[in-house]
Amino acid sequence: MLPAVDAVLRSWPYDPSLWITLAICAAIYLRGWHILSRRDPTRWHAAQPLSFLGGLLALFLALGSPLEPFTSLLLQAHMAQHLLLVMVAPPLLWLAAPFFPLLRGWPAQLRSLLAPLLRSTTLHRLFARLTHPIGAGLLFFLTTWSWHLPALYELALTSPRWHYFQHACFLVSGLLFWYPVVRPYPAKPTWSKWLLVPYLILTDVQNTALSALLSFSDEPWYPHYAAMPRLVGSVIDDQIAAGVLMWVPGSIAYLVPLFLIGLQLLFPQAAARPGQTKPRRIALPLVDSSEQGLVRQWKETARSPLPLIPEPSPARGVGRSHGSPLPKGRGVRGKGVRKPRWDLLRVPILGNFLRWQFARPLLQLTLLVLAVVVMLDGWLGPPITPLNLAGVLPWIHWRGLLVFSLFALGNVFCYGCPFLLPRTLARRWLPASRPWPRWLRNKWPAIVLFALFLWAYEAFALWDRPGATACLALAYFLTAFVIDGIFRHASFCKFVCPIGQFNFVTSLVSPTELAIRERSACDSCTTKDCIRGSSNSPGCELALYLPRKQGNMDCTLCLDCVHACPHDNIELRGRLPASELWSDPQRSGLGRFSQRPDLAVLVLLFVFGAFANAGGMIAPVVDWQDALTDKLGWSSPLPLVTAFYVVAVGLPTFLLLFTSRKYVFSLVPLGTAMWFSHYCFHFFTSYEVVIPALQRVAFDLGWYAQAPTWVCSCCALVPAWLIRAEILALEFGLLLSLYTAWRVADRSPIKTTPYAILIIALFILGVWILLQPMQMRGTMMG
Amino acid sequence: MPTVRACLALLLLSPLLYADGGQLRWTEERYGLRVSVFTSPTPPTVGLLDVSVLVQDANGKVRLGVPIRVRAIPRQQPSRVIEAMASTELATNKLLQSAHLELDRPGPWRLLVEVESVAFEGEILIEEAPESWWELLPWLTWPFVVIGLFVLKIFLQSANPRSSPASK
Ligand code: SF4
Ligand code: SF4
Repeated sequence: MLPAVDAVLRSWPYDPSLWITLAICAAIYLRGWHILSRRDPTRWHAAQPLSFLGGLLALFLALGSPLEPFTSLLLQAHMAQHLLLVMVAPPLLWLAAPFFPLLRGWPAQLRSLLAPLLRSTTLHRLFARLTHPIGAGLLFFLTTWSWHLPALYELALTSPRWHYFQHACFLVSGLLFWYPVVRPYPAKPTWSKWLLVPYLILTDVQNTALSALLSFSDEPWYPHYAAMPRLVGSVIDDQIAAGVLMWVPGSIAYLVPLFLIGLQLLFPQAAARPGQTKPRRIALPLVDSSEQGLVRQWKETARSPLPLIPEPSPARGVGRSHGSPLPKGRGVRGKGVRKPRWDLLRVPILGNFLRWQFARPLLQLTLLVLAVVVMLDGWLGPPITPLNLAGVLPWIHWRGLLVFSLFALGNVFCYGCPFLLPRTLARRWLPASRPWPRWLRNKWPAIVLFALFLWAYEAFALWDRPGATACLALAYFLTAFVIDGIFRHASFCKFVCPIGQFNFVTSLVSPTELAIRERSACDSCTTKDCIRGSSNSPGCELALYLPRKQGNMDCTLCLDCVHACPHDNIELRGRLPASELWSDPQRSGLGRFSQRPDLAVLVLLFVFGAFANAGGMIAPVVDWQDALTDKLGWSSPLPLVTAFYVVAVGLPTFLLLFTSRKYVFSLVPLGTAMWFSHYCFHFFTSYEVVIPALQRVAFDLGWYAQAPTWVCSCCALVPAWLIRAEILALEFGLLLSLYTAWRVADRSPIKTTPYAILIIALFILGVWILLQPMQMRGTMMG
Repeated sequence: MPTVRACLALLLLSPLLYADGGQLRWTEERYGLRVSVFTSPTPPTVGLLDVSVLVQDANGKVRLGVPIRVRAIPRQQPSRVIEAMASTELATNKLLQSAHLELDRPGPWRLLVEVESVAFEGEILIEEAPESWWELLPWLTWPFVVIGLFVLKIFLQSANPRSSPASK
């Protein structure tokens, strides 16, 4: 192959956002199509997903293939890109009848958000106008001609934003143009199909006129291309090639459907497939599922080109029409019968590993060894943070991976917690028989420790003291040993451990939850081993009775209940993050959240602690603290740090306790997102510092020949994607918090407003914090 | 580690500097070499600057793999030189070679592109980097579009109480 051709073929642009968007679209469509095709395989056939994937492939070739980097050099490449956007992708996408599969592919909760919009008659009317041949044809004509005017084309070539807009215009006008031609199911146009004949002919005429003007022009239309270095031929050759591309494939694209439609119109009998019956249509059985409602909605929407729904099969009942992509009505789901859900414990290999009896001890042992190494290095290694494992691993790696795993999976850290191994020893040597004092059976001890930790971390710069970090870890081990050696059950985890409380609160937004599989099995179960324990497992030591367990609070994911249950009736299932906060049920081992002031304080501490902890290390706050300390003549920053925490955490916690307690929990997603963004920043900017620290340890032990050559992380550029990823996480937290507040307020806009304002204000504060220069703690400084 | 970083970037929707050329700065032909220099971002701002170079012979045939050194010198401080070797790896369009330079101050800079010991020179005006929040504006505002749609949904629901779950 010629080197230049090889170079062209290797010129793939790096655009993850495009890949991810297309992959998400494909996944949603395929999921929806799969569900629908199981119910009605004749309506939903294999050609549709192929067509949809073909449409996405055309979009990918246009925007993510070697074509893209050449569009600024060659007009013909740019023309080919636009043809893919206008003439190839849209008809392929419509041939896949994407409305229902795309709707059905979303989770039910999100569909229920979209449903009212899709039912809007204004939207229906607007869509009908835009997809009427006159509307769509005019729009297509205007878009094509205006974007080929030199001034606008040049604008798109010089500004990336205008370029995106140009592509969006072409794609949207292409989609609207091809809609009346393809009429994807369930479109039911009210205009005569004969209208398509002039529609396609006129479009071809305007296409021919524009391409002829371009091809026969002696002058280059676009100065941008005239100035470009020539890769092939002259600028006029390039323009002619672009014109011909537009002319020939363009005409084929219009004339082939014209021919097929002409055939259908002239020979309707021949065009219909033998045995094909006309599908009957009814309206969307969304919420108003009474027969009267159906008839009324059918009348309202029968003339609309937006999705209608095939008539339900009588055997399934009205609420479960076989094609309905929208949420099922209430009362439709049979009691006690539900479709199988995704269960992590059933995932091959990973599920087997998690259920393996020794998986947890193995993980705990590994982390224990690591903790011992970190502690030893903290005491024996040099007291230089970036060179000491105790200065690096706990504060950069462990925290980053902790929040990442909580967000992605669940409370994995408690599963592998090394602090619990001494508990096993303690129970051998100490009685471990006393009940935890009744007056301490709440979160107050843990709250005090959590608050102390937040304050001490900043006040004593724990992150910069490997020796103190090692002492803290030892204190943790000793406390767990003593408490669990004296008291029964998992008293340390449930009532004392601040890390555990952090994990419990964060896991409220985790995407998995441990729950029973079938209620009927529990109803008939006589042993209740999940809570009482069995010969091979102690049962739940955190007093969570599985049939009444709700959500992740207090669950250490120890899987003792899974091992104990004789009916294998427990699953680790997927769920919508934060969904457990949308109602306030009676929870086993916890009661109702709204009746637990200690939980509310814990959550507020967690949320405001997230902002204070991140805010405490940004340049404006640090500068302000330094300036004020100098001005006041104090030798230590301790009083100011204390005052900062009292104002930033204590005060809002105190004030919000006077509001209705149940709303406090709606702040959890935003707080979690703030912790996530903050810890991810440190992890991704500084993860490499572990290398010199390990080199140093190996050098000290004589395993490595030379002293480390360090990476100075504080000098590394913060990658552009990181700030976007941090903000993205915060935005998901914002939306989830707002939605939670809305649900907690029983969907009342008025009741939601005060907390919505607070959530948005906190979000803005969070964005401001993330955009400030942040100290690179635990790394080599200047 | 670059692979890990690339995977993470991919997961987190990273929009990177594309290095597919960008804005054409100048084209110059000397000693049988025709050199076209592109820069990105447009307009060039303080921070990372991508300089992409297309080398052709006098007939327009693209010359691949030629060693290219790129230097940037601030007009106000001629003693300071920031330089990097260009490579095909950094370029998206593999007919070009790219170099990344970290320019730390606004103002006019001399740009020297050295191809096979032949120097090509141009000038570039570096602007102040825009406020990061301004750059991130589309990134920051999309949740409010979602919120707007949600409010619209509520409005439509209250306008048509038949469809409201509460009315059931
Ligand atoms: S032991 Fe298993 S079946 Fe019995 S109540 Fe517990 S979870 Fe249900
Ligand atoms: S519910 Fe199961 S996994 Fe959770 S803490 Fe109790 S025993 Fe462990």
